Amino acid sequence: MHHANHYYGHSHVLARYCGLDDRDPPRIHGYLQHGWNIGDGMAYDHEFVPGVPLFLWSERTRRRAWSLGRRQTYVVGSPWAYLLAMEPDGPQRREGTIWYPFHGWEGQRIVGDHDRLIDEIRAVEPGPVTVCLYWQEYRSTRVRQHYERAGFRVICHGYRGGRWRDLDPGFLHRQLAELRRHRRVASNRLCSAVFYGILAGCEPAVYGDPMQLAGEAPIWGGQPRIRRQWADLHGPQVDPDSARVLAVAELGADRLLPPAELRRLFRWPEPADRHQVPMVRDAERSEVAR
Amino acid sequence: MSEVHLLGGEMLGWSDLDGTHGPGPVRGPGLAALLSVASGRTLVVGPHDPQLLDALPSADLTVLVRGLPDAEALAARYAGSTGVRVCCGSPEKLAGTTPYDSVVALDGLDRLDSVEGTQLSWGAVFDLLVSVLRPGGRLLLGAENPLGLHRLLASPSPSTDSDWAALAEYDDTRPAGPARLRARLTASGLRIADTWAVFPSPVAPAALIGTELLADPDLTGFLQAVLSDQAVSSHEAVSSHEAVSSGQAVLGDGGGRTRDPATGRAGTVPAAPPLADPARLAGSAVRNGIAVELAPAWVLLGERLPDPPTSADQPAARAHPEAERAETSPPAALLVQDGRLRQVRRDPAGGWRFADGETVPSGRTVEDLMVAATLRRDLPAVRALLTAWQSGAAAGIPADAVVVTPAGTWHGPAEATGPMSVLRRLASRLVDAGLADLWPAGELTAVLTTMSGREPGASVDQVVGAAAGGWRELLTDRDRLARELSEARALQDWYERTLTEREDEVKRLRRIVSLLHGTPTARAGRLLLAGARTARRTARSAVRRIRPTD
Repeated sequence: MHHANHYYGHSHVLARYCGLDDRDPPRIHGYLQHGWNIGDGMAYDHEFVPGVPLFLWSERTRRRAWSLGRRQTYVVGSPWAYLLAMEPDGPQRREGTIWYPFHGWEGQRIVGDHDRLIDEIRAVEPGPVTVCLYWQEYRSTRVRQHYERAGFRVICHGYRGGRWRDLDPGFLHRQLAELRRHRRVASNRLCSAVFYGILAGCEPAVYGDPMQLAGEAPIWGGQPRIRRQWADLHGPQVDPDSARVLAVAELGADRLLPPAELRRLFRWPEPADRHQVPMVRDAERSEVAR
Repeated sequence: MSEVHLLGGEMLGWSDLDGTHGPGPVRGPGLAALLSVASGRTLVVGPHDPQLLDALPSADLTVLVRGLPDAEALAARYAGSTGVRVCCGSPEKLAGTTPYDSVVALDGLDRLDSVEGTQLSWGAVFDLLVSVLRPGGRLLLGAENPLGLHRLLASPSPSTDSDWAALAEYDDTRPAGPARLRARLTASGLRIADTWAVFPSPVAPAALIGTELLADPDLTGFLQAVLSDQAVSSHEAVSSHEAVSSGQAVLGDGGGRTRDPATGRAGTVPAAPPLADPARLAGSAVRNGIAVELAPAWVLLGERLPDPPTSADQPAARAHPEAERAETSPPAALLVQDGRLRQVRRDPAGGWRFADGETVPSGRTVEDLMVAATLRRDLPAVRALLTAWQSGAAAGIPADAVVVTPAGTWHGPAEATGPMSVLRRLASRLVDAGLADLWPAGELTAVLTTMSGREPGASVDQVVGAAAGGWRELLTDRDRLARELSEARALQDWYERTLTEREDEVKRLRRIVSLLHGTPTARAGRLLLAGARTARRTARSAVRRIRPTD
């Protein structure tokens, strides 16, 4: 329905969960939320077609979307939570911090002091730091070198995908592998990556200059509202247990649908091998059942 | 044939029992069972189904009807019973007769007046009946509720022949509402032993439910299941034009046809749809604790208090009927379920029991729990409920008939049908309840089936519509369909735009493919030609821009 459904390989993850060919996921009959946000779950510039359902991550987002006039809204949980349900966590060693500096999207520019941010990261993080940049910033040698000179490892998870072009089904898989290598996840703004990290078992932290997008107009209350609403997730040290509760709710990990229901909702076909079940860990299966 | 006692005021060509001039006599096994409270010398006034009369003690039974054909038919029926006396005429002729131990007026007091006699008010007839009741005697009185579900939700209906002076609620002597009705009986020296709310129609009730039982909040689910039972709530049962089989049997008017009350001609009368599904409102009334107030009718059992103890013979006068009725304490509810009558009584150990010993389940219906979970958008709870229902013994029983007790046991009184049909019914009822927009459009049955852990086969009806057939449900459904249609059109527009976009892209790509296709020489030639065309177009448009417009 919408090209954003394929961002980050989201539709690919869900197709695999549904027992379908994840190399070429079918069309989702609806709009799938593709990032954590504090509005109705959709991008602010999203164009809506009446009656096309919204597939949202969390119950809180659904309530908010409903209050903003959206109907046909269904909570399905985030693709990230499905990925984690399918990819069991191994007994690997975790070390250091993966740090996500706030990024803009295509066509946006960040106004902020990278040097000051680097100083803050150094002051807080005890172990090795991996900085994960958005592909735009990663391509900018100037920004990349800024962080490299500070002694950080600089990575990029990839390109999220364009209008049905250059789709990257491996995006979330790479992100998961990186997150599971680190003990902590941090950012200067509360964002999807921080919640992903929490759900993947990292201790979260949100601190440092939140930076600004050039000409950024705060929508839905912007950063001040995020800091008020999710105050518990802000600061260099955050209680991991309460953070996990919040991440489970925001990513809808407690609201995952069984494959048959998800297929029905997306109007996806039955898998060729009808008895194929997704690889879901036993522990997660009970969470799905709940 | 035994003699008909003509009291005066009798209507010669009139029958209440054959159903041609009105809704026919009061009838049904529930009312018949209630008549066990009558004893001794008994008077029955108004049109009662002869099968009800059969349930009364016939040693000293007086029946008063106003139509002569009815009286003659009854006299023929009881020709061999010497204790039965059939009277015909106006009720005022009863004044001054020897008092009765029991007076039965289950049809109420509206169909006693003859066109010939004085037009008595409700209060006057009531006082008359109380006056012929012996101290200690029992009165079994029916009273229609002008604000009952059957009227509240009925489309306007034409007057019947018996409505020649139907005052109904404009009769100031008629106590309005169950509280004033009870107060009126008390004020006339009657002790109220019991009150039953009658559903779904005053003349042919399928459920008589004691007010105490009806007020028990633990029984909400059970009561909703009873009142949404198709046998209890079906529109046919509510319809006042129902064929009166037993009445016709009495009068030899077979054929099972109904007659148009407006014309008196035999024929099928199409029932007008109700304004809304009465069962849904009944269920809501139960939930809100006002089911008694909205019942189509009430039946009251009053006992006339003894006169002030002035004479010494009073104990003797009381002894006879009291001793006889010691074991006949009336049931708390009488329900016709799956074609059989079931009685409910209070369990001395607490709660309520059916006559066969089965406990009346407390708790909520699966449908009620389902709606509540849907409104909370608690999909895990919806899923758990649907799965438990469809994997258990109650899988083939409609969700509105299955009661889940707080202990987690499931009770389904109705006969089981197929799982797909009950899932379809649930989907329809959710649509009726106006909850369709909480579910994906047009696939409710399939979604419910999938959530219940079943595989929706090809037979799943994708289109689910209103089931109850009331105007309210039809409007809800109409609005839903209108919305779905406009959404489908918007979606079609979007598909058109996207298709055009993609087609343009395909054309562009084909051009590129064709340019790059073939031998190197051909490719070079085509590229050259394409370049030349582009150059010519560019040159033309440049010339157009440069050339001064005049």
